[in-house]
Amino acid sequence: MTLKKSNAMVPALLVLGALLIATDVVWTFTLAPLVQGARLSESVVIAGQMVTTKLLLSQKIFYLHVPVAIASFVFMGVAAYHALRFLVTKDRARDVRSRTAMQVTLVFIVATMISGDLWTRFEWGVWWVWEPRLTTYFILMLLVIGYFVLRNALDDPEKIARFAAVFCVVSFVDAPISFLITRLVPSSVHPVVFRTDSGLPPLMLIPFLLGMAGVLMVAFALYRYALRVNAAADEVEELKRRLEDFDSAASRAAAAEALERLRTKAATVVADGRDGASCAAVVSPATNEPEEG
Amino acid sequence: MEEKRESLRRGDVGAQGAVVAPGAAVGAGAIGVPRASDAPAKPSTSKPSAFAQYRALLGKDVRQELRTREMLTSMAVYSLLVLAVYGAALAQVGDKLQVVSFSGGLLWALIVFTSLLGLNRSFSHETESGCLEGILLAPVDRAVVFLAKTTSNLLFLLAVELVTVPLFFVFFLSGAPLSATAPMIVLPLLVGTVGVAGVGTLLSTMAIDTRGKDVLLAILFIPVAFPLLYACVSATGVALAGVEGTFATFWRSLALAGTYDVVMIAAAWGLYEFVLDS
Amino acid sequence: MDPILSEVYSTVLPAAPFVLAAYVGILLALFVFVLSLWRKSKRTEADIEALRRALEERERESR
Repeated sequence: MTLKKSNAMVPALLVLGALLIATDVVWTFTLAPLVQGARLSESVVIAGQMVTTKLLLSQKIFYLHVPVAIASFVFMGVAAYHALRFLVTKDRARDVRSRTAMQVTLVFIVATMISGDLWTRFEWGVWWVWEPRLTTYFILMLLVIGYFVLRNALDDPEKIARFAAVFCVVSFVDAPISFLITRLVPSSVHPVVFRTDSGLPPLMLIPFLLGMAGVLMVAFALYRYALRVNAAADEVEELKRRLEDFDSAASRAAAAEALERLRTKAATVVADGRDGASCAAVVSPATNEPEEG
Repeated sequence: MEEKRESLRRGDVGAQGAVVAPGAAVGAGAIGVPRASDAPAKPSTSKPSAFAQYRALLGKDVRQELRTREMLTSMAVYSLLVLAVYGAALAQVGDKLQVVSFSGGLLWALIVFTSLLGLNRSFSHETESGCLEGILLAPVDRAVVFLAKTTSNLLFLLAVELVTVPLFFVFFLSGAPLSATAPMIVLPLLVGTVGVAGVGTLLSTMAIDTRGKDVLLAILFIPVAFPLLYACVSATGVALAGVEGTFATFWRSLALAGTYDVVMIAAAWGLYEFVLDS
Repeated sequence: MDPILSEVYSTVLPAAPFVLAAYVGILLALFVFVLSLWRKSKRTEADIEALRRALEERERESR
């Protein structure tokens, strides 16, 4: 879609997304049933249903944490797509999009890590556990940080764009491998926690889906806004460069002009000197070498 | 650019010129750059096959390293230093701790650090002597350059491991009961080093031109190589411990490491041309 | 409260601050991002104005 149309959509998307997320959150805390935890010593009947386990509140984090995590990976995919297109077409607009998508990815990864870490802290009582998902997200965060470190380490803008695109693609290929391997390599020390979030009852599935849609919309709105800001920053760099070119061209022209004047002056002085008596008085100051530059 | 090419043929490029130039000239001849002798009249005949180019590039690297042995020795010394650090780190541990249980991890950490050093140094030769530009001027397929570079890196890393791994055993595992399956660590070492060489070649090509290139290589390499590291440590640990019935884990980890190698090297191969300046 | 019921809900109160912190944390991350973007856009707007004016001046002078 054209830039104008999607720009118009942004505020609408933002509002809609925020609304969806709000619905998700409210539903989470009201209608969605609590998830089962450890077994109770005795079962009890609550609201006409037999309950045999403790009921967990902490699982509610899942309703926003997982959509955010998925959104971060989706945007990494967007970044990788634009990176590939850039490598093929060399179109700088693609590079801006790739870079912006990586920024959004970073933000959402940080959000994922914060919520995930708090969830871990509650579940396991420790601040960090080398379990597959947390580990993979940690690596993902390091990859995205590495992307920006790489961009800052180079000077030539063409090289920056090219190398960053290559690294973006490499990271995007590496991320699912990382997830797979940390999941499939059995660890003898830490038990691997397989969170089977499949088979959600509708009362839990609907707020999750609403939250997912809402987060994606908000993420897209943020991406568009960030794109505008980044494009403006690039324009500033472009203008600065043109100004520099202008100034250097102007100063070169001025210097060339000055040189011409001195040359003609020297020529007339020499001509005068040939048929003038006051050559000594005139030639000596005129033979002062002009300053360089 | 033209001057560099000329000087490469004439063999007067910097301090390493005496070592590099004959190799480069031979390599250049094999690659298909017309030599000074037949420059004016006829252009070179058919381009030599990709394999011949590959062999030439690889041969140049190996010959150069064998002549100076600079990189190998510094990497070997570096691994000794890391072992010294390990010694300090584990000195207070005493006899109660089962070193064998985490020796797989220690060994692979050693390999990663040494490899990072080796990957960067293999490229600094090229940039110092202008050799890389000479290669790029020749009509070589970029994928061949990648393969040659990766193979030479692989050979160097394996050579260093031949020194490092026995040293590791001497320093940390002399008293420990080694299982019968310990020799099987050769497999994850091989698979892992292949992956390190492949990914490392791509990333170090990107990192050479930057400021702080060693740190940058580490920042880029470690997250990308993490899954490989994870799988190889698991396989190595299982082999060293040699507990009955755990070998399914060994093969599974090895298979995962192999998958990593295939996927990432394919990706690096495809992306390499974008990383070399044309 | 019935001892069994209190056991059923025993994890809820301790969990509540973490759950709240998690949601707040996510929103905070997003908010910080938007804030930094907004500040950057203010700066670049001012820069673009100044640079455009400077460029026009130079073009006028050279003519």
